[in-house]
Amino acid sequence: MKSSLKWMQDYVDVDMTQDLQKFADTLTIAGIPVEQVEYWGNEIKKVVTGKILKIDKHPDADKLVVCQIDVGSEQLQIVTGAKNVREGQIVPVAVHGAHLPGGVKIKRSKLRGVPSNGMLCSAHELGFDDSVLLPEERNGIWILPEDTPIGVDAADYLDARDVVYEYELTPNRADCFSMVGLSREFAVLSNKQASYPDIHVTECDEPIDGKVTVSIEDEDLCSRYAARLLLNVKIGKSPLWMQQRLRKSGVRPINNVVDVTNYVMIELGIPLHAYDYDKVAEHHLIARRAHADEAMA
Amino acid sequence: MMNDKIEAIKVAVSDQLAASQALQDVQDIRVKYLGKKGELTAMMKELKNLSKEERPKVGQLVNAARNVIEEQVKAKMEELKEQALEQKIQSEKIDITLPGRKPVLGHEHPLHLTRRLMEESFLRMGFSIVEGPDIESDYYNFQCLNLPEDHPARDMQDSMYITDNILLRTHTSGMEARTLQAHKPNEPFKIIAPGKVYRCDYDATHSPVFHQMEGMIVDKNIRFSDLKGILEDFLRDIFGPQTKVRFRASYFPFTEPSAEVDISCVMCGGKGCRVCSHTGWLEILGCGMTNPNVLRMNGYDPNEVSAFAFGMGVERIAMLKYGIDDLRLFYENDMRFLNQF
Repeated sequence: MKSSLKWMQDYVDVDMTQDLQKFADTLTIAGIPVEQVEYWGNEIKKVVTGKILKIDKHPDADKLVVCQIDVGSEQLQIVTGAKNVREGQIVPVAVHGAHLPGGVKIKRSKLRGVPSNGMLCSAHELGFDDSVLLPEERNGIWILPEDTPIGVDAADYLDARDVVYEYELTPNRADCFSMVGLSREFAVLSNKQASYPDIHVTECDEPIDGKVTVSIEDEDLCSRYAARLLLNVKIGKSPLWMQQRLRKSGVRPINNVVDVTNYVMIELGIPLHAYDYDKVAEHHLIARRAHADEAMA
Repeated sequence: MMNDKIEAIKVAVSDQLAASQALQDVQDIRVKYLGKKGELTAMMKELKNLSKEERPKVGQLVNAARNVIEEQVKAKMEELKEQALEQKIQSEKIDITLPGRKPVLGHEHPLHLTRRLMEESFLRMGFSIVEGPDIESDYYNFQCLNLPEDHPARDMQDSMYITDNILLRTHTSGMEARTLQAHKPNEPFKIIAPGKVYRCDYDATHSPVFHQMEGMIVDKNIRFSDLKGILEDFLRDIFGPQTKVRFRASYFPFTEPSAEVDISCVMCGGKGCRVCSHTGWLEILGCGMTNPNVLRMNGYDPNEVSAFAFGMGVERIAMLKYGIDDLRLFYENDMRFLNQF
């Protein structure tokens, strides 16, 4: 179980200026062993968001292109070998003097004779591990959402600076496999108050009867099963803030539906699954034991 | 002419005798010239071919030669015998001023040594020692310890089962159940139970066979502070009076509350080093107040008595106390290692 301390602040006040290693030890002594304290993005300096205005082929290199980037305060020319860049995209730009994770420093230079005043960044270069990136996100430049403001600190916008605790929980503390569960421990051990998130569900007027049924055949194994129907779903990417929170919890964002089920599970500790309505036989969900010799597809 | 031959024989014998080193060679020379088929003997036979006048003269010379050879042979043999005797005296001489040879003493195996030190520490605190079977029943090893049948610790991968109900014991905790059942209900006792345990786990820091020591105290009013006191005393006894001890909340199915105990790192004293992963602390044992279910399942009434229990790995204690860095050294029987204890 991993928890981003910045995300934890939604539920309990976490003093980010205190000695966080010491607080981790406090949790450990109390029975919530913190295996690892990860400091994310602290080294990132001078990486801003920029819009690609123009892309030209490099005169002397087949594999490079020359981009004109608008970073708000100025326009920069940057040479890149990435294949996924297109005019109009907004990307993270490491300008001259930028620091990246791993001690990498960016300087203006010439690539095959053409001046380049910085570097366009991939998610990997900003410190995000392959395991939390989709295959297409691993190698190319990180393409940011269309509504990303230009010229702002990219590390801030991406919520890249954070501290993440990784836990090795004992079997008797299943209550800590969620952010709200952990927030109670944080609250008690730092003498603060934890608050449960405000949850509002806006239902539409259509009744669910006749659309979905749920039944439980083995009540000794399952005492309660709840389902909710969502209509007119359009599959797409989830918002950046949710993707980043998932990544910090060690989960790879896939699409909005899958991401929401994972997000709620991490936040509240309730495992969820999303079923394609059309693929559920008779739109009937049954909780039961497997029959003898039953095969799973 | 015969005179010349006689002279030649005499010279040959002289030379050969001077050159010979062994008694057998001297014998051979004697036989060669004076034996039944010897050269000189052959000359005697040839005498009959000589004239009447020559026979007595040559005969005398041959006899004279025979005598000389006999004497020379005898002298040489005496010489060689004396040499041999002298050599024997020299080689069998004993220097009685040399010191005696030390008898070879055995060495206590470090595991045995560590176990003994641990036992002695607890014996001084009034504990008794009990022992139990290595081949244990599922009943004592798990069921009586509040580990129901679907508990993950019973995973077939870690436990080595012989039949569905019999396995090689995975911990010495079964002795807690056995000891409780062996006493009358609510009878107090104070025991340690050392022994071999078995888990299906083999790598640089794990062996399929290793040693644990269990401990348990049952009586009226046994408290967590009693547990802390006994364990702190024990750890300072084994690791030295300057050892710091800390308790961390943890979890075991048979204790509630449970704790894990750390000692200040034996290498760096708590400053932080490679051995303690820079935390300054080394995990050393698990313990806790015995879960009331365990007391109840084994015939004791948790409303009348309370208990605490602890368990630790003997190899772990030995490795930390003696600075041994590889678990496998305990089992390889290399004398260069064992000689150091």
